[in-house]
Order: sequence, then structure tokens, then C-alpha cells
Amino acid sequence: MINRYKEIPIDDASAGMVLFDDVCDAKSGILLPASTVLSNDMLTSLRRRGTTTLQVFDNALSEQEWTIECDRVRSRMAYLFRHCGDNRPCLFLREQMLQYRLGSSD
Amino acid sequence: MPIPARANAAVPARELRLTELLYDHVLKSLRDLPALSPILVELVQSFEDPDVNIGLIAAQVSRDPALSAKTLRLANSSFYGLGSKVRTIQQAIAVLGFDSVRSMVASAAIINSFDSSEHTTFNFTKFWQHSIATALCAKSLANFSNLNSELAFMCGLLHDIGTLLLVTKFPEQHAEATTYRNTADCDQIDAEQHVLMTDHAAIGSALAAYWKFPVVIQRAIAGHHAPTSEDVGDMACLIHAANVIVHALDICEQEDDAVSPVNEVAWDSLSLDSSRLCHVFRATEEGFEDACRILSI
Repeated sequence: MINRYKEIPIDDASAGMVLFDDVCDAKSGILLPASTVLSNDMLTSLRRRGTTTLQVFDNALSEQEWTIECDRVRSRMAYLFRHCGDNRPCLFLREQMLQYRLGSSD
Repeated sequence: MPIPARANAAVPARELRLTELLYDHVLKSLRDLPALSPILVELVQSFEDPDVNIGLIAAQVSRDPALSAKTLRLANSSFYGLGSKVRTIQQAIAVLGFDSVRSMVASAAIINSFDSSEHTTFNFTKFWQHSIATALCAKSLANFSNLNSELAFMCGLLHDIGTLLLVTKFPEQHAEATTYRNTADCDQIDAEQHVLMTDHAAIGSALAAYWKFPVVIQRAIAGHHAPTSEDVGDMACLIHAANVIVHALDICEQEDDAVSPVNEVAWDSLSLDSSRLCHVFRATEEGFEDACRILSI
């Protein structure tokens, strides 16, 4: 299974990368929200605040490769949940798993 | 949706004799198992003891050559990345923390308690990978509840231990249940109930009782597929959810894997929203490879 994000040391981050998840401080306050396009000033500020790692979108796959992978993940999820019927927690779990893997619950 | 009563509650009278016969064989087979090291049993029992005497336990581990060697090997592994070599148990505990050392040492010792060399058709690696993943998931889930996270780790690691007893002591019966599972495409526990009139949850709980593990571990194992109303807020519900989540994560990549329907009352008792679930998914996946490496899986 893959996720369309990767966790990297902040020193490996560069301007133009897009945050996959919120960056929070020690008190869980949001410093930068998900989907923020990082700038050098932002990275400097985050280093100053002690941030050591970031989760950013992984652009290693082409659009076509990503579409194929999404179809594979959806198909695999359907197979894994084949015994669940309309079990409410399973429906929620499946939705959350698709969101986690693909960034979308569709 | 009410939590169902424990399995076998309404088995017809004619089939009860088969159930008792096989279960009786299981109980008798426990006596043929190699005894666990007394200090290992004491380590697992100490999870329930808030006033555990760390110094005493450290001294006892030091006197057990096998356990002592394993502890120092783990502490000095690249996983912990310590700058200097740890040479005593007390040093390992001081540097890594008692909870961390206890979990890893007990886990490694339990994994090594089962000899896989004679049972080549059962995939012990996949078994322990699933158990370790469930342990990590349970530990993460426990952080959102008032349950002990290291105890949750142990319950997760041990939840399917009954399967190992079936594989090692009743291999033909286990194979028959697995064949039924593959043919009917049902859950393993349903196949076991259909073929054996008992299941790995009940057997695993009996094994944990035989080893004198804390009652909370016995109940977590017994209820991890079908928690009862008495298990709400306790480990059995947590392990039930952790087990399902790990199957959904597909972390072991078993081709014929499946997610079982989840008990709604047990699930709702954990108050898992999107944010918490995402945190649990990541914690489980991110810790998985390191945990398998340190436990030599």
C-alpha cells in the first residue's frame, strides 16, 4: 500500500513542496495548515520553532501511475471489506482508510 | 446493537459433547507445553502492578542468562541508536526506561517460546507480523483512552496466541479449519467454530490462564473477536478494534485477508473520529518495520 505523502527531515524540504498535513506546535496549535505551498521563509520559521520533520505530498508518481495506483487501492479495499456488508463501523473505517491512502474517500 | 454473549452460549445439547471433548484435549495439551521462564511470567504479570519493584525485576532478569542476554542484545541494537554500549540490565532500564525494556523483552521471549521449525506449512512470520502490528495499533489506541498503553501492546501481541497452540498441537484440525475457511471464504474464527466447535480466542485465553498471565490479558484474548457487555471500556474492546484496523491497513499484505464486521458498541466506546484514526494508522505503520526488526521477525 502507498500513501501520497512522505515524511522528510525539514532539512530535506524545499520551497514549492506542498504540506500533506497540518504542522502544529507543541500545544497542537496549527502553525501551517495542510495544502500550504512551502516557501523558504516558512521553512526558516519552522526550523526556528523546532520542527524537525514534515509530511509533504509525494510527487514521485506521474498522473497516469497515480490513477492506476488509486484504482488498485480501491479494488483492494473492496476486497478486504467484502464481509462487512452495511456494518456501520466498517463503512466508516473503509472511508477513513481510503482518505488516508488516497487523500479522498471516493 | 447489543454486544453478543460469548461463543457456545446456545450450542445444542448433542454438539456440546464434541465441544467439551476437543476443549478437554486442548486443556490436556497445555501440560505438554514447555514451561515459560518464571521471570518471563513475572514480567508479564508486572504489567498489572502499579507498584512493581523495578530493582527486584532487574535483578531477577540479570540472573536468567537467556533473558539477560536477550535484553542486552535488544538494548544495544541499532534500533535504539545508543552512543555507548549497555552492559547491565540496570543500565538498559536507566537508559531506555523500564516500560520499554519490559515490553520488548517479554515480546521477544514469547515469540521465541514457539518452535516454528517443525511446522513448515504455517507462516509464522506473517503471524507475528500481524501480532506486532496489532500490538502497535492497540498501544496507539490506548493513548486515547485511560488504558495502559504498554499493557495494550502486550494484549495485542498475544491476542492470536491460541492459533499457535492449534498449529503446534492440533495441526490436522487447524488445517481442516483453514481449508474450510478458504472454501467458504469466511473468517478464520467462524471456520474454527464450524469445524472444531471451539476457536483460537477461547483456546488462547485458556493458554494465557495456564501461563498465569493477568486476567485482563486472558479476557482481551477471549473477547478480541466478540467482546461482551462486560468488556466495554476494557482491553477486549480495544484489541477487537486494533485487530480490525490492522486487517484494514493490509500491513501484512496477505492475499486472502479480510476485515471482519466490527462490534458497534465496542467501536463506539473508543470514540474514534477521523483525526484519531489517522493518528492510529500512522503510528501503526511507522512503528511496524522497526518493531519487526528489533524482534527479529
